[in-house]
Amino acid sequence: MNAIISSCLSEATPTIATRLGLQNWFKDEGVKFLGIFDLLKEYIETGRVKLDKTRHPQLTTYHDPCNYARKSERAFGHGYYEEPRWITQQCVENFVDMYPNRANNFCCGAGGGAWAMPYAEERIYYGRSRRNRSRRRAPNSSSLRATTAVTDHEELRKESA
Amino acid sequence: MMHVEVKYLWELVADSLVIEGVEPKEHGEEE
Repeated sequence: MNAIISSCLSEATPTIATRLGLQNWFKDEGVKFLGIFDLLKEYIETGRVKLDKTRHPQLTTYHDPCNYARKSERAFGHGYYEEPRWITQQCVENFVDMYPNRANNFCCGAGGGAWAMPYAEERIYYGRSRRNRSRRRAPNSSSLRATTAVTDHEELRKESA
Repeated sequence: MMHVEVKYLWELVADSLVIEGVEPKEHGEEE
């Protein structure tokens, strides 16, 4: 990490995009820290990144990962709830939220790479709320008709593969 | 049971990218 910081400091405008919280360890380095969502949002808003939402007409929802969302809010004072939703909405034509969502979203039980560990029973127990919700029938919930679920949670994507 | 495709956010962004002069590719299409 120090090597990355050093190389960034050699830039005219040193900026590092990362998960929120790095600034707590490098307060006096003269580096501007941005969350990766903030940087991408800025690129989209300024037209540096152009997106075509007509490529994804299907109903799409977003899963809040614990670490970027409620754990980030608790540890660093900002949970990334709205930014990834906004980015998703720039990529799809039809977006709907699941319920519950944001800070109250159910944990999938796969955080931190736990899906690849040998403790399958413990992991499934931890993620039981998510599992039960997916089994529950709620005909009025439009999110259950979503055919695409977007997440910034790599473990959830692998788990569902 | 209905099939739900799960996509990584950055994958969705990459699939939605508009790059001048480059046509979007379907998944699995050869380079």
